[in-house]
Amino acid sequence: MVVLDVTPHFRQLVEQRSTQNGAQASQGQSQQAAQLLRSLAARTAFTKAANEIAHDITALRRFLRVNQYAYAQIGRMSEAEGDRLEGEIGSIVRACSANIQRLHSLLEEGAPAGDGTPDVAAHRAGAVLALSERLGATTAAYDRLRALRRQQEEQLAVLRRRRRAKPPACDGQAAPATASLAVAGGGHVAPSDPAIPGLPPDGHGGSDLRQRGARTPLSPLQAPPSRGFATLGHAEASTVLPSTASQRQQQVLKQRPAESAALHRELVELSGAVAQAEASVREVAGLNQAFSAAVAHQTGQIEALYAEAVRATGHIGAANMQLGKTVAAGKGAQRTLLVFMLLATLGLVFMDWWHS
Amino acid sequence: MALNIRQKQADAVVRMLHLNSSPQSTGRGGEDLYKVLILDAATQDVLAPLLRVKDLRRHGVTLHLTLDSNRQPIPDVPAVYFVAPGPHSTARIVADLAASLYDSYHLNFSTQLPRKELEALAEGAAREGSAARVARVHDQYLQYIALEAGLFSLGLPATYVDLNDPSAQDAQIQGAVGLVVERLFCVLASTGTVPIIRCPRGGAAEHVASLLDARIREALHQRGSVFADGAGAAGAGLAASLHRPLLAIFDRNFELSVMLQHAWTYKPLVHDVLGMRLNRVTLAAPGGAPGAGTHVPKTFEVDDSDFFWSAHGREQFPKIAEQVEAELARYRAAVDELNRSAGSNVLDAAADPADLMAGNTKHLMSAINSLPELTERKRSIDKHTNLATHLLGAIKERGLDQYYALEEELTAGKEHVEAVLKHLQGSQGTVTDRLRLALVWLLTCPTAPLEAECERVETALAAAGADVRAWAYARRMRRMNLTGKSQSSAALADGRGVFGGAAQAQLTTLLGSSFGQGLSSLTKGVKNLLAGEQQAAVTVAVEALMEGRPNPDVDGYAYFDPKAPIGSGPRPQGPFKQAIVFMVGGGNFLEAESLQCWASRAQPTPKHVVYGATELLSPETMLEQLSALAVRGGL
Repeated sequence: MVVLDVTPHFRQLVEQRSTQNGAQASQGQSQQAAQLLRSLAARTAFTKAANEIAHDITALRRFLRVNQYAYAQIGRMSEAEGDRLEGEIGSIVRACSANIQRLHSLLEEGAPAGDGTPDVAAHRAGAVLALSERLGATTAAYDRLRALRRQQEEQLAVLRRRRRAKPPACDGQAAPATASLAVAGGGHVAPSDPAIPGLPPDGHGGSDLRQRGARTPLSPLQAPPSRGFATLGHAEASTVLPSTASQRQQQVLKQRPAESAALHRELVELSGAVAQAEASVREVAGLNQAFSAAVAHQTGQIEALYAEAVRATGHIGAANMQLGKTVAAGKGAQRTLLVFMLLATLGLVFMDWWHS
Repeated sequence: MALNIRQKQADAVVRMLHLNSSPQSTGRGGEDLYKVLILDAATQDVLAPLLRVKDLRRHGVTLHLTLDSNRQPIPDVPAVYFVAPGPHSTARIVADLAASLYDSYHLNFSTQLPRKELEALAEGAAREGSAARVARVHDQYLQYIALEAGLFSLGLPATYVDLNDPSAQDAQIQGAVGLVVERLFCVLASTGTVPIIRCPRGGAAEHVASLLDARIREALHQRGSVFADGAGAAGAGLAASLHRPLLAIFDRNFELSVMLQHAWTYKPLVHDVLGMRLNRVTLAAPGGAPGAGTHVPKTFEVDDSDFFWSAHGREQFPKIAEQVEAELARYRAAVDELNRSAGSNVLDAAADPADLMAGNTKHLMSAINSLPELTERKRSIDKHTNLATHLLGAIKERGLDQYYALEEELTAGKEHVEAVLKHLQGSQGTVTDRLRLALVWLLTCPTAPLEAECERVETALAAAGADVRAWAYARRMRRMNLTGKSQSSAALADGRGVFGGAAQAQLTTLLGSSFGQGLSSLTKGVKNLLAGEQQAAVTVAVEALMEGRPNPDVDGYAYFDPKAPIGSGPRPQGPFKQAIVFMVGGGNFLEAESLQCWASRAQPTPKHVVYGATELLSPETMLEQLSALAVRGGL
């Protein structure tokens, strides 16, 4: 970059001139120190507030920059962390927006006594506008990141739904097995029912059973899993439970896995529906944000148009005033001309009478 | 790296707005955040094509004011001054310091601040006791107007008149040349490289080149040189010339006809017909109260950021109309698609409601996101539709297509004076159009036109009501072989007696004894690139210079290498990849386009050419300058 800094030459010349004018060498330093203090003291409340908001926005941008990769890429940040980040950013944006609004109201209420010059008012209006635009740019960048994250979440959700809707070949045969069981049983079986011996504890029963059923389709010519399962259950049941009461218990036992499988399936479907609803709500929230941004942009344009209209009104007012003056001047000129014509006519008549 | 003069200037301006620190560095306790910008008329023109008010705000400028306006104190804000150096600016700054208008003053001068002015500033600041308020003083070297990446202007009006005025004094001419050299130096300082300078011998071009060489040498020997590569060894001939650009300086009289020709491509047409200035076009758009029939002026900005302007600026006008239609159709298709996807109310009973909702919200989201881009695109299409409509109206009204076609034929030597006379006596075109046609014929005749033919043309022009002063001046120049297709030193020697006295000596000094030598052989090489496209003479010359091979047409050109020791002869040079072509006396978009077209098609590798001039003149302005010279020359 081509810039020549001539400040040292300038300072040297100032020192020389000051010395020639009788000032002491140390006065330059004391003047600079005084200038520094004067700068700090001259800062008005408005400027301090505006600087504060600008620093907040800069901090927000830095925060976004630091976290953008982790936030935008699914997998780098958990959902809870993403939500927390969104909450933090949302609160900062709201706070900045409220502060800018307060500054704007301060401007509209009128400048404090002593700084009410048009240049000061224009500078402050420019500062508020600059802050709004900076905040708008930051939120637009954040919206883009959020849209990217949503897009990836959506794609992941679609993949998961496809996987659930089309289970693999081994799962496919388990599904009808569990379905037939559900149809046959219809009861509730707790997969981790410790009363059922032979079943693994902690909820693995159902899944283990499904997996066992899943293993059977490797050779499709094998007996259907229901029979296998029934055989298994029957076998297991028959080794444990005695006669009539035991037969009832056997039936209950047969129903439990079917019911648990049905319940599991229902829960899975419900979870999918909830996830879809959550995704839709998030999209609607994003849409809401995008609409707000578009409306804010239009508001800015409307404000600009309004300012233009106000200026134009001012011009029209001035033009009207000038027109009024012109009309008045024209009327005055007409009157003067009329009087002159009258006098000239009377003068001619008088002279005619005089000569005759 | 390709020379992008506009980007370099924009980067320098942004850095200046951030108080000459990097824009990325955080402000020192909020000092950098908000500032007031003070400009003068010259620097306003510099910034106008680069930054809009919104861009200024983005860099923390809340208010921009002119130096000479009545300004009130804003006590807690730093002020960034960006003004041209001079006694007036110095006086105003000292007055502002005395009035304590701002908290601190960051002074930036568009060219080098002379020592005398720096002393005056220091004295004024010391006297007012406000020297401590002056935070920084910088020489920015930004006094030129970068209109495009490869196009700049020095913003010096009427340089052609100043340098060709037979009644001008030495001091005036030196002053005009000095201004050109200083601003051209700013351009070179921005690029940061020391070019090899070539120019035709004699004339204003060599004068400018020699002073520029001296200026660069002086800068190279200063501490903290503005040139990135400093005053080191020039390096091996081939390697050095491959990296160092060529600066080819020409005088406007080298080829005058290109300034007067009617254009048929978009950018030159907009500049010629619609009066584009500083990348802005003002048109009278219908407005005001309904039925009042009033026209409200509307300003359009056209620059490299406009996709249509940068993509289709070099195309011929009929193609522009097609492209506008095509872009409009593309936009409508995009909007229809958007409406269809976002607003579809078709309910598929078999579809999953959740999927439907997800699909709808996704489409709405993409619609919202693509709205700003579509809006901007539509705005651009509307703008160019307006421009094309106005151009079409002017073309139909003035028959500009016929003027263009005839001038192309004249340049190629395929038409004669009879066709010109027929057109002059016709009804199409304004008086200025006819004058331009006549001048193009006069200046592009392969041999000097006969007096009888000139008389007939002059009579036809007078009958049409044209101002024949410009014609008279051009005719004298042609008669003396100072411009036009074939010139010789003998003819020039004959013409010397016309002026007489000090003016004669001055003109001889300016024009040199061998001005225009070699031009005839160059113009013989004018090629037709495509049907209807002619190369400007300067393009042929630049091609020969950039090739770096021995060429009798350009071997006689003056050679300046600011890095080589004084008195050392020209070194053998290899081909140049980059060049800066500068016209002393004015240039236009047509000439710039001719250079850019050749550069992009150059073999074996495309070249990169930056074109600049003292000012970008419309043909009407050129005619006014020719008329003014005729008056001053006593014609």
